[in-house]
Parts: sequence; C-alpha cells; structure tokens
Amino acid sequence: METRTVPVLIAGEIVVDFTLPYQKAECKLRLGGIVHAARGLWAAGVPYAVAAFCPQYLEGEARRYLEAHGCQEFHLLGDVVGAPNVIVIGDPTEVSHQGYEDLLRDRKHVIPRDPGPDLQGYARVMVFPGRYDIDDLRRRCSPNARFSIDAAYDVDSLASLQQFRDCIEAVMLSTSSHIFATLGAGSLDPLLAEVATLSPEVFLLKENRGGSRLFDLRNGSVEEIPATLGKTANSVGVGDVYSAVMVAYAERGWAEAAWRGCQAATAYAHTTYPDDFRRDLQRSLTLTVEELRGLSGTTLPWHERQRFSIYLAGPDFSYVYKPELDRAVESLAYHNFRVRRPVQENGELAKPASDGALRRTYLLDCQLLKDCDAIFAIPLGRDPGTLVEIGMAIELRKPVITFDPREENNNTMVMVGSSVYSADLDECLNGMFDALAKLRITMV
Amino acid sequence: MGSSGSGSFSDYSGSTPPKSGPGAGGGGTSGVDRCQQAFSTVLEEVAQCDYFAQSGLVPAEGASLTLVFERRVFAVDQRGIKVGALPTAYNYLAACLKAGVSYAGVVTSSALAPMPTVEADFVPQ
Repeated sequence: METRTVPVLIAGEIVVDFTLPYQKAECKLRLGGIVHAARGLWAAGVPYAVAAFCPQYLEGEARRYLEAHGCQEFHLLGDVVGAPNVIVIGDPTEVSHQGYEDLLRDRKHVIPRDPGPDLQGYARVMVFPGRYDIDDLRRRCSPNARFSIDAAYDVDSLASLQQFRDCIEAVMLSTSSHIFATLGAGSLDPLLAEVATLSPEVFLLKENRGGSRLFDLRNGSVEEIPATLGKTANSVGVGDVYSAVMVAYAERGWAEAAWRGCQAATAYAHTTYPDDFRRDLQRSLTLTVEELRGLSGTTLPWHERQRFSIYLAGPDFSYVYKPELDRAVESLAYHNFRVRRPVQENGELAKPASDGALRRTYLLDCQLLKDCDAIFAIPLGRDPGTLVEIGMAIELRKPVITFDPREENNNTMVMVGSSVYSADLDECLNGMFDALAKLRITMV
Repeated sequence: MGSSGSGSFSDYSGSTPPKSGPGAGGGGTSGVDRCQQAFSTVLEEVAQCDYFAQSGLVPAEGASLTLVFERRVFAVDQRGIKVGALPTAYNYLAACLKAGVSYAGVVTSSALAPMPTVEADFVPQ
C-alpha cells in the first residue's frame, strides 16, 4: 500500500501461541497477541510500529521477529510478570470453542515501564486491550491521535472505554467475545446502543464464518462483507489481522477498509506461513472493491441463523457412544444455529417399544424433519434410521450436510445426495453456513 | 527423557525449515501456491449460464474449458460461452486470473437430467 508516511501504531500484549497437535497437523509455536496484527500489516505492505507489554524473556525475540517483518519501531510499554503469557490452543479452526488456555492467567499482571515510551508521534492507534491500563496508554499518545479498539478480549464492558469517547474511530467486536455474549447475542440493539455511547465513526461486527457487518454510525448504513469459506489452517489471530488492516486502510473510506481487512483475514486463515500469506494477500489486494462485491461469498448474520431449523439426523441415543455427534452439536450451538434433536424432543423409545410408541415417534420425527430447513446428518455405526432420514430430506429437496467421521457411509446415494459429504467437521460446518446463506437469499 | 520441543520460533519470512524433525513445518513458505494447483469441481448455476440457456445442452465429457473472471469466476468453452460458475470457495482464483495465471480445463462428466450438471478438472498453465 505504502500511501502513508506515519506508521500505524499497534498497542497491546505479545504472547506465545502454542497450538496443540490437531488432527493431522503438527503442533505450532508462534508469537501471538499483537504480532498477528503486525503480520497482517507487514503482508499488506503498511508501515507500522508496535507498543507492547510482554514478559522479559520474550522481549528480544519479539523485537527480532517484528524487525524482520516490517516493524519500524518497537516501544516497550511494560513487563508481563507472574505468567509466561503463553496461550495453549486446542482447536485452531474454531469449529467450536477454541479452548484457549492462558497459562497462570490469575497470577499475571503488568508492570509499566517508568518512564514509559513517547508515543506522541502516532496519529492512528490500533488498540488490543489486555491486562494493562488503557487510560495510561491514551495519556502517552498525542491528544490528536485517533484510536480504534478491538474489544474482543479483556474488556468486560464498553463503559470501560468511555475515556476514548472523543477520539475513537472504530470499535471492533467478534461474536465470540464476552461483550457480544453479554450484550448482543440475543439482539443487536442493546449492543449498538452501547457502542454508540462511545461515538465511533464505525462499528465492525465479525461474525465468524457468517461474514461481517460494518455499521457506519454517522449515517446508519450497513455494509455486509461475506466470508469466503475454505479449508481453515489456523483461525487464531485472524480477527486481529482484520481489525489492523482495516484501520490501516481507513483513509480510503471505512467500507473499502473493511473489505481490505476481510481479505487479509481470509488469507491469514488459510496459512501459517508468512511468505505464503503475504503473496496471497498482495495478489488479492489487486481486486477492486467492486470486484470483491461481485464475487460474493457467504453471508449469514448471527441473529438470522435462528430463523432456520436444522434437523439433527443421527443416533442421538443415551446408550450410544457418539462423541463425534456431541461435538457437532456443540459446534452448531456455538455458531448460534437452531438445532432440532428429534430423539430429545420426541423421546427415546424403550426397548422393546410398543407398536403404538414406534408409530407415534415415527410420525413426530417425520413431521419435525418436514418442518426443518436443512438436515445435519451424522450416520454412526449401524443406524439405518439416519440413512432413511437423509433420503427423505433429499426427496424433500432440503439441503443435507452429512458428517461421516468414521467414513462408514461413503455410498453413492449418501455422498451425491448430500450438499456436502465429509469426514471433516470444519468442511461440514462450512457447508451448513453456505446452505443456509443460500436459503437466506431466497427468503429476502 | 521422553520430551521434545518446539525449540524456537521458526515462521520467519525467508527462512527455510528442516525437512524433518524439530522445526519441520515452520519456515517462511510452504512451497505451495494455490494459484498453481490443479483442482476438480462441480460447476454451479449451469442451468442459468449461456451455454445451456442457448443450446439446451451441456458440454460433453472431454470438452475443453477455461476460466474467466467476469464478476464471478466462470468456466467457459473455447468460444468463451459461460458453462457454469465456480463455487465461491474458489473465489481466490479471481486474483490468480488477474495476476495472469490461466487455466486449462476438461469436462470429466456431464449430464442433462435430472438437472444440468458439469464436473471439470482444471490445471494452471
């Protein structure tokens, strides 16, 4: 990009991200925290500087790494003590809760450097809150500096950001954040009202695989930015990259800025190799915003997901060993899908069951299937009922997503009849987002 | 001792990781460029595209295709007539095409009934 001379300042903590071995992927050790945002700006070709809190043992490593990746200045704001600032990550694809473990987090605190660094020279600051005092950060910056705040972590309430009221440009949140769960999960109105008290120009809501929405609070417009769903290599830090690159492009207008942030986030999710990321992003940035709008993608806002009912076809019985089914249900619930579980809703039959009980359950299950918009099928073991339900749904022309983790049903009718057939939950989840996003378009 | 470790941060731009053992999987690049990878896909919106709309047919197995970026990424025949759209998971190809990469495709299967369907393989040129 190289259109600005004053670098964007990224402020926050530097941590170590350690992703545990996952499926076929080996463990991954990376600098995390604001280093994710730094990688995004480096890959986009944007000049940037860093103001960081980190443990002393990490300072030299972080300086070296950032210097090698375009960081113009490294300001140490303070030390993190009492904890190693290591995050252990269980699920790097965010199929469901990522299982972040912040080691020794209750013992962690920060000790600011005194005297602290001079940050007066920065006009635009991207803040990632942490265990540090953001009031103090603001005081160190120029009174004319403009701030953007990604309130995904370590912010209990937006009221705690009121001191930025007159100098805030953008507020970013993701649907996996504490604030969203508290204020916005049921309805967006209370969250938007709370954001408005900060008087930002824009509010970005990152809705995971359902895309994102940019609310321009100056004129009430909303820009929907679809997700481009593909194989997720690692979703950790993807939201940070989105926010930082968006802020870096703010001078081109917030709508374009958000699209550029989204492009960077998409590229970052697909690889953990920095040179691959930079190459892919640079290539992607040659597309105009109009071209990006034309390409489209998957848009399924958080609150609209509850409009659709998903019939869970699978051996959802108490006596069946079904960890894959349980994980899929957890995943669908995490993404705010409305899952209808016939066995739980219509009851588990006694063995042996009477003819009347069998018939009643059959009819109730059939009706529930007809009432639902899509089917998520998990055929496990010897379970002909699931296969019958798949067939009924195909005939009813409902989208069928078949998750076959044990690969026991790779049969022509099941594979071809399903919109998506896979042993990979990540791929099936993408398929469900995609199928319902298409239904949403037909309903608009 | 039964322990091993992730000995250092290995994801530096320009660095080359060891091929195996500790540190494998790190480095600056995977050596793979998505634009340069072959792929297979089932085309979307075949019934709405010009080829079927004009002829009521779908290209036969073995027919040559290529890709164009015209608002979406489309597979077209040798005359440039749109046969079908690529699923949005392949949106990254728009940037590949814009960067000058071209793709040669071949229809691997097609059917008119019960609905127009085309599956194709594509290879970067």
